[in-house]
Amino acid sequence: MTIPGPTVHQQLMDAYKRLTEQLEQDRKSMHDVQEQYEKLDAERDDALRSLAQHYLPELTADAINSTWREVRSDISTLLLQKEDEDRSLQQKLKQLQENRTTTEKALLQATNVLDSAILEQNKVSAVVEKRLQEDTQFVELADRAAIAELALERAESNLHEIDQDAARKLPAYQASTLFQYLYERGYGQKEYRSRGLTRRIDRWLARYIDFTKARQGYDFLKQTPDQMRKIIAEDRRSLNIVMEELERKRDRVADEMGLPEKISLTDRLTRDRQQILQTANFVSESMNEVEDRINDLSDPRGSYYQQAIEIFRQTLVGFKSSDLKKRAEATKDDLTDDQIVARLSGVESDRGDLQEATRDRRNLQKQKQHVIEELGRVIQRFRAAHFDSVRSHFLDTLSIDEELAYTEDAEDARKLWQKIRRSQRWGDHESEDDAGGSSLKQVLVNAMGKAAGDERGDDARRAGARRLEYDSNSDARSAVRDDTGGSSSDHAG
Amino acid sequence: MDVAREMRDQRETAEEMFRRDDLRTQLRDKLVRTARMSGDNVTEEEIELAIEQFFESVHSYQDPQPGMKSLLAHCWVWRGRLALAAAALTTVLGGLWFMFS
Repeated sequence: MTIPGPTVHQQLMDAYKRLTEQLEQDRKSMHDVQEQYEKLDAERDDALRSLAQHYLPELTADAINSTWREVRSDISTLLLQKEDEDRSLQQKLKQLQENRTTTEKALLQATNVLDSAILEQNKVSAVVEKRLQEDTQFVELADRAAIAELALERAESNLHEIDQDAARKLPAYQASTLFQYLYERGYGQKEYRSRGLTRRIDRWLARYIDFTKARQGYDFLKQTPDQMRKIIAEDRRSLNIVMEELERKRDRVADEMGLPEKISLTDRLTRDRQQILQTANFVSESMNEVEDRINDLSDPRGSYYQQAIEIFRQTLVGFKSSDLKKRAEATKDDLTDDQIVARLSGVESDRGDLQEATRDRRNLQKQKQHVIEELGRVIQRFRAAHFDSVRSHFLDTLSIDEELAYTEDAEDARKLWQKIRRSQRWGDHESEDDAGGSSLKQVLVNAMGKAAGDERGDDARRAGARRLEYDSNSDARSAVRDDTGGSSSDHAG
Repeated sequence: MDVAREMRDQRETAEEMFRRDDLRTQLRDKLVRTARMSGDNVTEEEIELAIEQFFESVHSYQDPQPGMKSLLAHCWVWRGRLALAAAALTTVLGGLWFMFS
């Protein structure tokens, strides 16, 4: 029982594909390793920050004196900067408080002045209004204006309705061929000139569509809205004349009483007050900002403290875990730092393990890569030797999957080719001619195999094949004819 | 004089239209009075609908229903085009007859 060449070829191809997929999967899973590194680094930073916070619980002179010698100088400088900023902010706050007092006083004064000016203006306005009310001509004009305004509003409302009416009804007139024919010929008007039969038929048509009534409706819808607009415009002009007269009378009385000056004074004072109000708001906002900053500085764990912790953490990064452990052990009464250092050691240990595991995985991947490359070469040789032909057979003792299961490195993969070659058999003479090259040489191989019998047949065939290779190397002409360049090197391998 | 009369008429019509809301009110009163006299129990909505229908029908136009008269009327209006088409057809047919006879 033998295995056909194409089956073995397919098995090799499947194995190649499977190994390539496995390698790709392995490479993808390396991204997870990067995430694990980032997580461990974050944990390490956190532990170092906790340790820094433990050794420097707050940003005060006492706390700095009792902390590590290595960071004392940098953190002292930071404390001095904080105190400088605090002093500067206190001065700024004082200045802003003075500004606010001044601004508030100015605002109060401006409000009082403005209120007085408004009261005065209202008094004068009331007098002007009273005098105008006493003027009979003014009262009469005002009444006329009120009536005209009411009439105009009513007219505009009616015009709107007529406009809508025209927009709705005119298209029927314009779309009618019969009506437009008579209308364009001027039927019923002086310009209508037709005589005789034409006139009689036109008359019949006019009666048929009731043209006289339709024309009246059409003219009404076309002309009335425009006419109404003209009348409204005239009425509006008349009303404006009345209004101008009323304004002239008002201005005369207002000038006599000095109202325009009062109004301009009020406007000016309103603008001044608005400006002062803006300044007061700006000062108030600035004070809030400064006070917030001062509150932050007065907090011993404020923004400067965070900077100090960062400096401390960066210093701790330079220390080995063992040194940190020794330092922690030196503080006999304090167990917290020992716990933090233990946590840090744990993280570093995990990181080391991860590094080692990653290195091993990379090496394994390299090995797999070599095996895949070698398997690719085996497949190339397999094809070059025409082992994938239907006339090629393999002993059933050859199992590609089993062989590959035991393949760990490139050397094992190379040995696989030897096993494939040893298991390979040709099915008939004709096919061997194509596969092996020279028919005479192949005859020799086959004859040796058959002559040696079942027991030693394989050895005899291999001996014949070796002879084939020897001939191909020594005989140039044979080498040209013999297309077994790949298989020759295979034999040598 | 005719132009002046025309303008006066138009202005009167326009001014009449400024009292369109009055006309609506008068019409409503009249309808209510008539309904009371005849004993009809009509609602406000029904009266408003009747007034709307009245204003909708005023000055509106509609062509006569299609029929023989309508067809003749349209033929009369399009007589020029029909004559032109007939002349063109006659010329073509005459030409064909002249060429193939």
